[in-house]
Order: sequence, then structure tokens, then C-alpha cells
Amino acid sequence: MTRPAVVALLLLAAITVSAPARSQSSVSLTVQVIHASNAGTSVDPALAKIRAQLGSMKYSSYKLLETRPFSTTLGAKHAMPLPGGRTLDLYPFGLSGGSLELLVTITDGSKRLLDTTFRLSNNGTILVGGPAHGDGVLLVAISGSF
Amino acid sequence: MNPNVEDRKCGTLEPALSAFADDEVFGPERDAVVRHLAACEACRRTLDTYRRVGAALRERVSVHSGRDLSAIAWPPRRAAPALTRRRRLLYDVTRWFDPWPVLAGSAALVALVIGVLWLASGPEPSNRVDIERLDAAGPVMVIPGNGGRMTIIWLFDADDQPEPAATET
Repeated sequence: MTRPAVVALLLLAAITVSAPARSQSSVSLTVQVIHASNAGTSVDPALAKIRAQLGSMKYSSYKLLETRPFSTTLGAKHAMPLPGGRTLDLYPFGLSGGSLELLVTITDGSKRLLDTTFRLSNNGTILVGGPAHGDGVLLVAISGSF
Repeated sequence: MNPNVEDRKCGTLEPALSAFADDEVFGPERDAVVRHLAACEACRRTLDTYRRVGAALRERVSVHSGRDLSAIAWPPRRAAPALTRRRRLLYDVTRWFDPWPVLAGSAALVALVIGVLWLASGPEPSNRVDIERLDAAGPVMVIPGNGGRMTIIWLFDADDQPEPAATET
């Protein structure tokens, strides 16, 4: 092998190693629907992963109502019913700088409670809380891995 | 959400979709495209087509760029003049100490080392959430969690006073 070929090979290897993977387009999203209230003091064992963050809220009881994992691709839109006739819409629309770009809306009938766009790093979680539910409130935890 | 964004005709956004597929749309225009896409199945299909075509083109370019170009030389090689033994030795020695291939190889090696170190450093700020845009029906409180591990968006009714017991800021 000639020296220019070796140099070209090294350069190619360097570029290949340095370039971030851009071809990935499948993502996994997990939505957890939680009922938070002050009725009791129990925390659902399934919420152990986010228990520390839940501790910063004023509620004493956290019950996991539903966990829904989505395996999806960029550009696909998903709708999920939430308790109380509300709807959660998820639209993962891009991967940029190692983060997943996500548009999330929560609607209650024709009323749009939330409409947000954010970047989620791998295994990051965003928690949306506040809508009234029963004797407490509804929390929606959205996690993504890609 | 501004209803005008969702109501914009697909034709007015279509030129931006191609650029969006290549990550070349920024700022408010990108926001408008995303919000339109979230509401418009036809444009999502168009975007998907652009992305698939782009990926196929990149793949073809990648395949064809693998051709052996080593036979190409510029300027065209000419027959080397006959050298005396002494001159040939001198030529070989100076050829080996031609600095450019060595410099190029060194640069490639440095790039390789930097790339490896960059990969080895791992994902720096893990579990971060960056909110780019947020509209809500009522007051909202955004609470960054522990070291950015989990961000909380708290929605209040329009009549409510913000008062979650969250203490982190």
C-alpha cells in the first residue's frame, strides 16, 4: 500500500469515527400517566425511577394509572387518550445535536391546555402536571430513548 | 397555538419542507413548519418522501464515491529522466522526506485521536430537556429538576394562583 493510500485511509477513518450517527430515525417514547393526590401517602413502586423528582411536589400519594410505550419513527404522530376526556398528541419531528425534538399538545375538547416544542436528550424525561383529576391532579411523564 | 399557522395552505410551506428535511430551517420558520406538520398529514407524507429521497441519494453518492481514483494523476506523469546512481539515491532520500504526506498523515492521526477522545468522553449533560416553545391555556410554571434530570411543566387553570410546592428552581 502506498503512503498516499495510507494517509487517505487514516483520514477516512478519522472522519468516520468523528461523524455522529445521523441515519437513526427510530425512537422509543414512554408515556406514564400518574394520579397525584393527598389521599394517603403511598407512591406506586413502578414510579421508583422518578420518585425523587415527585418528592418536590406538594402531593403525598402517586398512583401510576397507565404506562404506554411507543416505538415510532421521526415524523409519525401519535395520539393517546388521557383521563377526563383529554388527549395527548406526540409528534417526534427531528433528531438534532443528539437530542430528540418533540412537539407535545394536550387538549381538553376544543381547549388546548398545552402546546410545546422541546428537545429531549437520550433517556431524558419531561413531566407535565396540573390538570385536575379526581381529588388530585394528573401528571404525564414523557421519556424518550433513541 | 396561533390558528393561522395550522390554517396556512400547504403550498405556502412546501418549499420549506425540502429544506426542513435537510435540517436547514431555523427559528420561527422552523416552528411554523413543525406546527403545520403536526396538524397536516399530507405534508408529513411529503416530508417523509423528501427524507427518503434524500437518504437514497446520499446512499448512491456514497456507493459511487467508493471508486478507485488512484490511477488519476495530475499533472500527467511523465517518464522520469534517467538518473545517475548518486542522483537516484538523493532523489529517494528527498522523496522520503517530502513533508506533505507526513503532515497529512499526522493531521489525520490527530483527527483520529480527537474523534476517539470525543467518543470516549460520552454523552455529557445526560437527561437534559430544553424547552424551545411553550403555549398554554393558563399560567405555566417550568421547574428544572435535579441537575436537569427531569423538567416539570406545571399547568394552572386560568383562575388558579400558581402554588405547587415545588422548591427547585
